[in-house]
This record gives sequence, structure tokens and C-alpha cells, in this order.
Amino acid sequence: MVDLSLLLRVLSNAIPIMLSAYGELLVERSGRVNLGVDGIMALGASMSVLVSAITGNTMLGLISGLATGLAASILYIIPVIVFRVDQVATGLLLVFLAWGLADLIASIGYRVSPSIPIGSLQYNILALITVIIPLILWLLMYKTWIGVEIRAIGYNEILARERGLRVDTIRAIMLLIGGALAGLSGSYMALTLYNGKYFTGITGGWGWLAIGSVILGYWHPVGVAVAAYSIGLILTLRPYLEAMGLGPLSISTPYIMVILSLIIAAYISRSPRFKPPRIL
Amino acid sequence: MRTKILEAVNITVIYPNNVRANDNISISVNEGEILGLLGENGAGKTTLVKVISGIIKPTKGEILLYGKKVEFNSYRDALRSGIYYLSQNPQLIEGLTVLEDIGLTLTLAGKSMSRGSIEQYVASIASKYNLKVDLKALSDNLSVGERQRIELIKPILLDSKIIILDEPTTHMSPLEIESLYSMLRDLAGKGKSIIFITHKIREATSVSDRIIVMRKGKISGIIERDKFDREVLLNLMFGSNNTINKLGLRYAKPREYKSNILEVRELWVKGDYGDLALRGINLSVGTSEIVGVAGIAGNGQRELFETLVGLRKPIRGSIIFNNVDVTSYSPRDRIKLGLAIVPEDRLGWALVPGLNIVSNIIFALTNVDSTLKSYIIDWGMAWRIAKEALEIVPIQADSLNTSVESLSGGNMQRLILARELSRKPRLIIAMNPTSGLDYVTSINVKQVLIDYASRGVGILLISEDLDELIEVSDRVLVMNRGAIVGEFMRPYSLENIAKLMIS
Repeated sequence: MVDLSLLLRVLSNAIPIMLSAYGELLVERSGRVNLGVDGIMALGASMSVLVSAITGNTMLGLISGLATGLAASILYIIPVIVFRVDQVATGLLLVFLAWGLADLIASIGYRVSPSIPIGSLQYNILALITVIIPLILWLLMYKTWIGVEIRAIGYNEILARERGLRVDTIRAIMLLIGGALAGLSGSYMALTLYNGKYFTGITGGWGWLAIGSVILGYWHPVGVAVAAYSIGLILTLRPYLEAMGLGPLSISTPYIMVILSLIIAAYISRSPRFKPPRIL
Repeated sequence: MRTKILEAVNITVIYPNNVRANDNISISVNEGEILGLLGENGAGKTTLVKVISGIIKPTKGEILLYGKKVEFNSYRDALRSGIYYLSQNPQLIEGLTVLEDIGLTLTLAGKSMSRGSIEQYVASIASKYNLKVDLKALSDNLSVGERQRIELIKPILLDSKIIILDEPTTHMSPLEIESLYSMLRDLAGKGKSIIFITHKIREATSVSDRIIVMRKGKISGIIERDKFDREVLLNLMFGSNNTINKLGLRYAKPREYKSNILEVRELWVKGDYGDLALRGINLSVGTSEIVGVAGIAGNGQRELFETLVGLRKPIRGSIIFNNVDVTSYSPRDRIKLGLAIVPEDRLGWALVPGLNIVSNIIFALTNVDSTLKSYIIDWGMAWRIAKEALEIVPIQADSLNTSVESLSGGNMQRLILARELSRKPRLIIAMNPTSGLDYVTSINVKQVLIDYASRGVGILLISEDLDELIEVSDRVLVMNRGAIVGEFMRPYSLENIAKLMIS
């Protein structure tokens, strides 16, 4: 028996992971890793709750989350792209900084706001956009010259610089888009998944799952979408499995999936079309 | 007089380490001319053209294009102004297909094209100049020659006005060089200006309309086609007449051939992709004998080298070194028996970047000499051994503490030779030992090989440089498609050897 509401729940859980993962995909394809995703999501969540609580407008809430993510990624761009500070250290510090800032924003006193319920118009638009993004990304990366430029920078930074490619500019743009999508993802979590509430630790580590699904999806837009859906499925099924007394299985499922996907990845990687970027 | 298309005025480049690579240089390029830029390695040729193509910012000086001052902030700017720079070691971006790589360059130059029209244009250029390329191939797996062909197609696609070729013939066969010349003449006939960088006088004189000679960062002479003269050019390249005359190779008295130090019997070896790279190689090297192996790159020389030093296992055949069957020996055991190895890739294979000169000498000795083995490093002894080794072949370095990657190519090769020779080898296997080295250092390296041969050391010299092989070898073997197809003795017939190489 296929329960339609179950599928809807899978999609709902996959949306935030997908949004963040697409942003991270662009960042990693241009040869950088932004480990700050989870923090940016938390920041987007608290800002969107604040804005939609004050204005009563959830649309403004989503937009403010997106804008906050965009702004937060500047905290990564300045050290990493401008001053060439280590990207791993910067990303990890950004997580903690952003978590703290998110709580600080929430401490103003607005922790509850109007929500975007599943099935509402705004939800449907957002879901539609999320489902279409992989197609757009695929067209961008494999059918346009700007996409070739992004991949080239991720493959060989030194040569790209020598050839006159705009390495830093393109990376900065990818990081801005990545930040914006992570911010949007955070606002979606607060406004839809948690019905317009912000609390400390709201992301539940889903930002890390987004980074993971970029790897699981082997840096390919469609692969990342599949990875994000699969993780969404596991997250959705977990309560059911636990209720059936299969708690241990539910916990180990992600690991089994990682191994399986690595096997598939090893197989796919033989095809040169799917060469991943050379990051770090 | 033809119109000046490009002028570089008073270019000075001082690198962060205070080296004056270009010292107040002014050159001009005319429309439709092939300008030869001749000079030793380190004369500043590449620096100058990198300034012209916007890759390096000059400390002082300016570039004029059609008489108007231009400011290039990156190669992209130069590309958009119609300048194309083809680097000495053309690289494509791995992960992209050849088509994507070409398209990317077009886009950078502001001449974006659809994939379909690139395919069309490339096909017509390829058939016109006999430059075959596979557009669907992935850039990762291409040989230097293939990459070079792709890089040669790009300026034609872009319709670049000024094409700069940096030592383009390094990896080309004589036949390919000829077709490159005719292509350059054709392009010059269509009004394109070409800057052709080389350190070989023969190449410069055979294709250029005018030669600018550079020495130590300065222009030492500009010579028109009707006044080309080898002696004059040599003097301009190296300075006073005296130094160059002293540089000839000194041959020792006729060497005495005693017994075979190396014997290779029926050697069959697989290549990287499971194909047969060596098909039944038989060869021998006697004591005091220099045996040269000629051939166009990619005919099994690399596999032969790797098999002889012990890095590649043969599927059949045997290698007898010093009367011991070493076929299954590790490189270390072969070295213990008296093998010296001079690989082609200096910094990747022979030396460890990041370690200083002393460490680079000592680690290769302690590993095979049990009397030097200890668990705690005796740095005093290490320095002493390093100094002794460098008395054999001296190098120029500020200190023995210098990290090896900061050495010049020539000094790296001298260091490798010093280290290998300090082990008192019985056999030296060298692959392209002078590639990329300047004239003087090449002579030094060749002289070291000749001197050691006269002391009883056998030498197997695998080289792509036919001139060098003929100069030093007692015998020249020709390799073609993994087999030895000919053997030549003095006096050599260059023509016959070259014919067998390409047959």
C-alpha cells in the first residue's frame, strides 16, 4: 500500500537537504568545500522566523532567510577567497559562529511565527522549484560554457588561473548562491517542517547530510537529487522502523547506503564523463 | 617596410627573488613575420613573451598594439586582443573533453561558439594543416603531441593576430617539425605574426624571417634573414667566442671493451593499458661502452627504462646485470649491485621536493649502503658525504640546506648525477638526461657520461635527442613500436637512423 502522504513526507524531508546540497554542489564543482552549510541553515531559520513573525508574511520570511544565507557566505568568502585562509578551518568556525548568531537573533524574542503548511501554494512553488533545480544545474554544467568554466576551475585551479579563467570571481559567485540556497533551506525547515518555530539545534545536522549527499551523488546534479531523496526517505522511515522494533536497522541504514553508493560511485567513476572535481 | 603590429617597450621584470629576468628589453613584431626568439634557458625568452601575453606583469615598461598602449591584467585580456600564447608544455584541463577545452578558450577570448560549429571549424582546420584531433576524447589521456595539436588549432580558430610558440618542437619528430614550419609559413603569409621561441640555432634559422637573440635577460643582437650565420648567433647567445670553443666534448682515448655488464634477452613487457609495450628486446651494454637508444617518444622507451631499473615486471625474458639474473630483483637490489639511475622526471622521480640537498643525497645512499645505516641520523656524516658527492659533479647552490625544488633544472640534474655517481656504479641507465637543459649544462652532463665510460662504467642512454645520441654513443639502437629495429655504429648516418625511427 503506497501512502501518498508518506511520499509527500519524503519530499518534504528531502527539500531542505536538496536545496543545501545543490548550493554545495556548485561550490564544490568550482573547487571549494563550504563546511559552514549547517550553520548558515540555522541562521536562515532564525532570521526567517523573526521576519515572518514581525511582518506576518511568510514569503518575506523565506526571502529574508535566503538573503541571510547570502550575507553569511560572505563571512566565508572574505577569508577563504580573498585572504586564502584554510577552507576547512573557516568552514567549521563558520558553523559555530552561525549557530551562535542564530540563537542571538532568536533571543530578540521571536521564536514562533506564521508557517508554510505542506500543500499550501508557497509550499508547492518551493517544492516545484526544488524538483526543477537539478535539471537547470545539469543544463548549466554540461550545456553552457559558463558551466564548463566552473568545472574547469574545479578540475585544475592552477591551469585555470594561467589560462585566464576568473577563478576567484566564479568561486565567490558559487559560494553566494550556495549560501543563499542554504539560507532558504533553513527557513523552509523552520517555517514548514517545524511549523514556524525556531529552537537551538533546529537543523539537526541536516546541513552535514547535504554535504554528504553531494559526495553520495558523485557531484552530479541528478545524482545529488537521488542521494537527497534517499536520505529524505530514510529520515522519513526512521520513526516507522523504530516503531516496528527495527531501531538498530534504522540507525544503520545510512551506513549501508553509504557503502552501496560508494560501490555505485566506483562503478560510475569509470566513466570519464562523471569525473568529480579536485577539491582541497 | 611592413607595419609594426606589436611593440614591447623597455620591459623590465624583476622576480621576487631579485632575479632580473628581463632588463630593459624593447622588441617589435611586424605584421606577417616569423620572429625567432633565440637564447639559452634562463635568457628570459619565456618571461618576455609571458609579459606580452599578460601572464606576467612587468616591473616596468609597456606594450603597444598597433601603436596604442595596452594594459593586460591577465592572459584573458591578451587573448581578447588577438594574442595567443602556446606554452612549452601545453596542458589541457583534465575532466573536460577536447571540445569543451577548445570551447572554453573561445569563450574566454569572447568568441563563444556552439558545439556544432566548433566541430565544423576544427574539422576544416584539421584537414588543411594535417592536425588530427579527437574532439570527444577526454583531455586527461592525451599525449604531449596531441595536446600540442589542439593548442595549435586554437589560435587558428580564434583568428589570433599574434601567435607565440614557446619551444614548440621539444616533443616533435623531425617530420612533425617540418609540417609545423610549413604551417607557420602559411599563417605568416596570411598576415599573422609569429614569435617562435627556441634554443636551437638550426630551428631558428630555418623558419624565422628575423632572429632576436637574448642573453642573460638582455637583447644581444637582432639579425635579418639574409645575415643568418651560425657562428655569429652562437657568439650572441653565449657571449665571447672563447667560452664556446672550450665547450666541445672531450673524448677520452679509445675505450677498451671487455665484457658485457648488461644483457637483456627476449624482453616482453606490457604497457600501462595491457598492450604490449616491448616485443622481444635483445640488447647488451659492455663495460666502458655507451649504448644509445633512439626512437620517437612513445615507442617503448619509457617501458624499457622502467623494466631495466626494476619498476615494471616483464612477462617474459631476462635481464642479466653484472652476471646476475636480476629479472625479479627490486630497484634497490639492482642499485646495490651497482646500478645508477638517471630518470627523465627530475623532481618527481629522482629528487624529493621539500627536502634539502643533503637529505636528497643521503637518503639514496643509506638505503643501499649498510655501513651507513643507523637509526639516528648523523648529520655531520651526512653533510660530509653530501660534500664528497658534490665534488664529483659540482652544483651551484646557496647552501646544501637549500630545498631542491628551488634549484634550476641543470643543477637538479647535476645533483642527481653527483648522487648516483657517488655510489661508484658499474652501469648508468639514463633517460633523456639533457632534456630541457641549456647548452652548457647539456655538455657538462654528456661529458660526465663520457668520462665515466672511459673509467669502465657501462652506459645505456635512452634519448629522444638524436644529435646527442650520435655525439656520445659508441653504438645506437633504434626502437620502433616496442622492438629494436636497427643497430648503427660510427660513422652514423643520421638519415638512415631517422628513417628507421619513423618507418
